[in-house]
Amino acid sequence: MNTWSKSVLFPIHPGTIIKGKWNRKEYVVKRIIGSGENGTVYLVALFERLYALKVSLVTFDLSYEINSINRLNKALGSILGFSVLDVDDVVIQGEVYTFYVMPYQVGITIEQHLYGKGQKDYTELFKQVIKLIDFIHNEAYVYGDLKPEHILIDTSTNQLSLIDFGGVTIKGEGIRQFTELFDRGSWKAGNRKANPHYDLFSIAMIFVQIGIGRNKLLKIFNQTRSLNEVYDIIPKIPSLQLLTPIFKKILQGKLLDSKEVINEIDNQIASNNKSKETTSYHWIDWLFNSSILLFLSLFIYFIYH
Amino acid sequence: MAQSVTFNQITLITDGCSNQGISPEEAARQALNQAITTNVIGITEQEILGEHGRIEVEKIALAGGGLYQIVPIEQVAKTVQMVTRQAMNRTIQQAVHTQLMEIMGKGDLNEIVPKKRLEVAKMVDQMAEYSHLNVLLLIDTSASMLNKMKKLEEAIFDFQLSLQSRTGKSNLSIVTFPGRNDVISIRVPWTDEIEQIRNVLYKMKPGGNTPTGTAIQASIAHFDRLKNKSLGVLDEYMV
Ligand SMILES: Nc1ncnc2c1ncn2[C@@H]1O[C@H](COP(=O)(O)OP(=O)(O)OP(=O)(O)O)[C@@H](O)[C@H]1O
Repeated sequence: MNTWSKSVLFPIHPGTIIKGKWNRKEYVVKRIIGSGENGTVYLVALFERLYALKVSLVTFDLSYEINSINRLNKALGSILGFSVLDVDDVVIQGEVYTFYVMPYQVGITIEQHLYGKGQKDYTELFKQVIKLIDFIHNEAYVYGDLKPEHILIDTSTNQLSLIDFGGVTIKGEGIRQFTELFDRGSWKAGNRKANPHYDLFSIAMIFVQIGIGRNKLLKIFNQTRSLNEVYDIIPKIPSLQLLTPIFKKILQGKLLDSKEVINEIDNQIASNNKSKETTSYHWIDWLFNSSILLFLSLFIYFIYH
Repeated sequence: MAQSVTFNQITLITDGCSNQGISPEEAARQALNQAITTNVIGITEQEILGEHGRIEVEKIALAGGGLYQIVPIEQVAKTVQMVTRQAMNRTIQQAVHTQLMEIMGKGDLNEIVPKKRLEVAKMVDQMAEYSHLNVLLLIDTSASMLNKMKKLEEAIFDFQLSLQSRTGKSNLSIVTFPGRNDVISIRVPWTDEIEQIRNVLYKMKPGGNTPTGTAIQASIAHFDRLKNKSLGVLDEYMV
């Protein structure tokens, strides 16, 4: 039997009432939010409040996801800002579907957010994403399936949030779910054992993709799958320049820990500011010196004339 | 408990219909009788595999107690590892169903409270991660596979990565068919030194017929070698 076909169409539409078989809660479907390999997510309302509800025919994969969220939520609490609010079944036209309810995360993907932005925003956001992932690493988990669509930013508060926890893996186990373009293994840069570097690799690749454009990265991936080609391109992208040495170290497996990465970013920002300061200092120096020279020459001029 | 479970799988990668030897469906059934699950990955070219091929792929997987996927050659890499893991999960789930039947008279997971179901799913997942896995990749190298060898080599490499990354122990053997003298040709004998496997299909010249059923039968026999082999030695294969 083929248990996981893509884009299953559910008989669920705006206005459909999803009534839980066990908990008896009634959710009113507002609209479809998105759909992926493991199911379809709807915006729903319960007593006037909005939630996201994910439905799947593959109960098992959904259960894995729910367990991951529960475990992370237990470990991280409010830092994660995400939890499973309800798990239930619904019978529609004689077919049983499993669903779970989670907070509706407001925001746009970091890719949309960075569109047209410069080096400063790229660098700052990169650091924020690493910090967020570091919380997960601290609890001996690895997020696994990182990609631009899974990192949202609420532009009114600048708050980052993660969605889709289907790839979360206990450190040391094998990654169950990944996206090839951001997967260390597919780039032949290591295995798929869950360790912090697995996520760091994905994050670096996500920012490279946002900087150089999806098509360009896909082309490299499909044709040569060579990281050297990636290293050639990134220094030429203005928004990625400051981070280039860090990306390189991550992709080469020389930076393995999120805290080290945060330190490197801070160092990079500091030395960048310093070099700006020193250039401006030089300029003032030069002005000062040249004014003395000018003064002296004028002085000499006046004395001898 | 998880460590003591062993899974035996044949994963067949093919792009067409068998045209020689015994029925592949029958062979897959025989494998299942020996506790070996058969999965099938059907390769389509320009979105077509042909109705006949599709039906055969489905039938083999059904008879073999495994899963199937029909994908273009580019997706084979990702598919092999997904099918393997999902097939393990399914085998465990089936065992769980049987147990549930015995304990509660209900075999359907949908009949138990979601909260309990989550516990079952957690257990199933951990068993699949920690269990012992023996996989035989059975690769069709008949004439029509000629232009797909490079992608297949990549798929094998990718599968190696996923096996190496599991917590549980894995043994892998890679077999192609039709063989030169025999129905199958053993490219990589059973080994747990999965990271050592290189260039399996290097210089392979696809050709010949597609005796899928007979190849599955020969693969069942090849599983016997696992029993009396001290693993870890790749000498006979390394060149
Ligand atoms: N809690 C949420 N709040 C807002 N939007 C969400 C939420 N969960 C999911 N979405 C949206 O729905 C889409 C699909 O959800 P999700 O990624 O969980 O599905 P999936 O089946 O696991 O997909 P994938 O193939 O990406 O793994 C997401 O890309 C996102 O746009």
